Amino acid sequence: MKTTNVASEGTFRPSMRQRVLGRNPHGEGVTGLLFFAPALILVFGFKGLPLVRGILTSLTVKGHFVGLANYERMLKDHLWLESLGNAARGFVVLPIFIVVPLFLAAVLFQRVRGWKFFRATFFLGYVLPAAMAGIMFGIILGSNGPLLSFLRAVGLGGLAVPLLARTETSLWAVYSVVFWAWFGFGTLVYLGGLAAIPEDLYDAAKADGAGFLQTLMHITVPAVLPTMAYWTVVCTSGFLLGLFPFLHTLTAGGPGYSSLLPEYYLYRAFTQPVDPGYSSALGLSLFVFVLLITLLEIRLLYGRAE
Amino acid sequence: MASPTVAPSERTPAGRRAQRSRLRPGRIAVFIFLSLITVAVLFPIAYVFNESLISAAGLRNGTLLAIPPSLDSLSEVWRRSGMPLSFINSLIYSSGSVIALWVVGSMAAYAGTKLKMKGRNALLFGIVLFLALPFQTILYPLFAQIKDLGWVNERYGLIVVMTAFGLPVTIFQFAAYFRSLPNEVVEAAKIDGASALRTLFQVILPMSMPVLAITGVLNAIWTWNAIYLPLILITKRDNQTMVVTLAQLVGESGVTNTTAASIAVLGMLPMVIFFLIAQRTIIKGMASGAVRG
Amino acid sequence: MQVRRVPLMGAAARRKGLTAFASLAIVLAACGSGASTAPSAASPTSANVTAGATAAATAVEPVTLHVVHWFESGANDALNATFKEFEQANPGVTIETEQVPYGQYFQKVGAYLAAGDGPDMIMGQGGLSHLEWKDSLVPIDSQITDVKSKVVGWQTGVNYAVPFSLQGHLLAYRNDVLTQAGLDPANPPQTWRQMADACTKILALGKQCIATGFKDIPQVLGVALAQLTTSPKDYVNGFKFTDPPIADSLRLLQDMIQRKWLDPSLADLDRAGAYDKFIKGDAAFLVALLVSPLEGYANLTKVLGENNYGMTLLPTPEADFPIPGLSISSESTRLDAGVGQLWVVPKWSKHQQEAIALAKFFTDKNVQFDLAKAGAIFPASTEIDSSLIPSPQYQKLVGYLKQVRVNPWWELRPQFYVHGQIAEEQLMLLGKEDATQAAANIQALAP
Repeated sequence: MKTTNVASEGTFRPSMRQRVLGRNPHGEGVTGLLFFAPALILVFGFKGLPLVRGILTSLTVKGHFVGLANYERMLKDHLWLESLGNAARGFVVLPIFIVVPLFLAAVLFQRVRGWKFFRATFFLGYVLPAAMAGIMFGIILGSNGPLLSFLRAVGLGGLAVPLLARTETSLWAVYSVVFWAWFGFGTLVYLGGLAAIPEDLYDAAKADGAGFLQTLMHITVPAVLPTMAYWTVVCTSGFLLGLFPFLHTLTAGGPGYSSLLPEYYLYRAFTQPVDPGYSSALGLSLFVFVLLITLLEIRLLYGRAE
Repeated sequence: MASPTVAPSERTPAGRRAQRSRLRPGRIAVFIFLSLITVAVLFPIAYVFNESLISAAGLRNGTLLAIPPSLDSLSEVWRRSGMPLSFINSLIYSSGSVIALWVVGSMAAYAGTKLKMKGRNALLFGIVLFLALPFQTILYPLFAQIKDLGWVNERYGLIVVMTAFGLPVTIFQFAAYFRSLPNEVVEAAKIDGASALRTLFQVILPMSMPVLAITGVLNAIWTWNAIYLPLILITKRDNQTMVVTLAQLVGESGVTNTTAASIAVLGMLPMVIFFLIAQRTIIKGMASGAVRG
Repeated sequence: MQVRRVPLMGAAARRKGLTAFASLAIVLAACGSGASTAPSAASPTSANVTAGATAAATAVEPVTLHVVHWFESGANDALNATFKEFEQANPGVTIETEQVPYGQYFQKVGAYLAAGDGPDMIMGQGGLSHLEWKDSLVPIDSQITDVKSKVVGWQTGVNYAVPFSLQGHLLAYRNDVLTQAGLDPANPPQTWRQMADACTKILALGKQCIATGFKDIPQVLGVALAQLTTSPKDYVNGFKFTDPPIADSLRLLQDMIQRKWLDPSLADLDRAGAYDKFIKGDAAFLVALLVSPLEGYANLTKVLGENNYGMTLLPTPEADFPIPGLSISSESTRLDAGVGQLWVVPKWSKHQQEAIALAKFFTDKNVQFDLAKAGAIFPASTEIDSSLIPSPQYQKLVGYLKQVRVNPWWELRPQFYVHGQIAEEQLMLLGKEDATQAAANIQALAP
């Protein structure tokens, strides 16, 4: 990639005009900066600056500097702690989000008849607006909905529980809907990873008489580990920051506080009579979580690249 | 970074099809298994579609199937949700931010991969690092900033913010693609005397259809489906997106399950149609774009 | 003369507004009453200002009034028609409206208040505190004497708002289910005891008694029950959720739950599910919304037919039943009505007189009737001729107006209570908490 022509270095200095227009093959720093400028302005203006502003605001109450008082308040805010606890509970289902799509991808990769159709259909849920999927499943899982009506009709009325309306089940019901929406995306990601596995590995396995499961465990899974790591990170940040539309239309955090997740609590803290300092402190503490995770993500991606 | 080939998943299985497509009991079982999952995916959609067509009489009698279908509920939702204005708003937000992301994103990625400047990698990395900063975590300061600029309720305000938050991923995707393009292409354009801008827009981008399609399609879907940012930044109904307008209808009085179903159907329809049209690109985009980040 | 919907702070509108402000300022300065001296309302002469007088004053100089509200679709159209009428009666006055969806409305108004600038007339909701805004509002007591008898819903203290609609909740019931249970639909339950008896019979049929959704409970029953147990004087010096009158309302809710009037095994999370249950005949009662566009009512008539359902008030608790020793306020009301919508005029308005005249215009019985007919509001007017109302059900509803006493509960309940109430009452319905715990938990949310 580095093709700097050392021989001609220093033989002439390009004019500013030449630099800007990029006619000079040696120094394109100014052009480069100009090319970077819009992106830098947008990213720093609407992410960097608000971040700094958020940090400063989080140290204030009604415009007065209060040090870390907002963070102390956060540690005693039982609703915030409860929402973090709910998020932590949610990670129990993460393995399902990781393994099931891999299994489906491995099955599809066998080129079952109509695999392209299946692949497309599985993925449909991810394309639809999550808020609308939430409204849809509010009906499906509701007490007049098809699921409970079916259970009652086949004599399993005892199991006919409105899942979204129970403290014990509401969080899992939300994650089920999320799974419906996301598993096709995961399958697609894994299919991409699977396609990168050299074919001769499979041919060798076949020659050894390995079955589907043996091939899956001994060839597919090890080879697809980087993809799996990537998908794990995507799901993790999705769990922490991508569930708002589902929560908004499915449970609004209820019943009680059973499906209250940090991002939804943030929204509530924002829409109530705004308490800028506290709202900023909550946001930043969530940011610390996500930052750690995304650093991992970047590391993984760059790790693979090199 | 992997090669720029877009959909590896398209490639390999097709190549091996001839060897393996024998009909075996196991294969039939697998087919049935996959069909069942398909039913699980499609059933809720079919159910609400049917529910949305139930008439008032059907509602009263608790009919299961909408026979004969009635458009009453759908048309009521259409009327109450400010259609088609909200649809046009969504169209403006999606297309506006996609175009902005193409221009801004490709320029930064080009500078970061093909221009000879010091610190280009650091700048690229710096921007991509902001992937880590989701808007939820800076909700209040972001809103305060937009308010200071007087951009609350302005269409361009939402477009700019959506662009800013879509940029890191888009730049990442562009950069990955540009890296795979041979430097000779750029050198040749320079020898012909083309400026960097011309090189990018007239030489490089026409060669970059796959990544344009991918970033375009992905960002269009994400901005179309977004509700958090529009809820925060747009309070004027006339400027609100279709998805938010519909979602807000659910809480209103006199909403039955049939109304709610109509809301969901109307809200999903544009994306279903988009998916049917652009299915290949979407799937390619997700498969490759996802692997890259 | 048309009602335009322009962004309030749009450059063009602002420029136009400034011109109008400037010219009006000259006129008013000549009259010796500066528009910016806030309680100009207190001056004796302005007490007699009516829409007509305003017209005379402003016929020379055009005035643009900016109005912000949340009415949608049909209600929005009816509102705009009223504005048009006012414009026709007051040449020179132009009304520009800004419609903000309800979900974002109060955030938006909060921004105006923070900025100390914005529209000339703001729609408020009785249930949420316009009194929280009072520092920015014009007190209007001296100017409303001529319309005070026209509508109900005025404040007992200083008035900052012109109420023009009512809202509240009643019980709708299905005639067929009541008959099936051996009850007389013409005589629905009136007391808690009668309701207990009715619900037992209905439950025996395998049906739900009161269809309700989780999201409804605090919005509907919690508020309604508080109306039964409290009186305005309970709120004079602020209140706590753990104080007897309000804690008692939670005890009544608990009684409802224990008697299975509300069935948690069937309760849906949203209103739509409960509504469906009632329409399909799986429940005898529905907490019906007597809110603005009467959409609940209109829909019931559309789906069930006018003569197949009825409306009644909430049952009254008695001294010995259901909770012995429960203090029932002599001022309690069975109709948990409160002011629906109201208009307030902010101090920053340069056209306070015109804005107040416009607000008062809404108390006119014909305006009220037209808005009600369009389904935009449930009228607060005491003068509407109910014989003009074609629907007997609607007539009955209007008849309930006589029982309305506006309870400050709605005005005084702060946001953190609302959120806490939603969550804690959901937990009560699920049997996770009792009334005492719930009251304590809600109170614990107070900063």
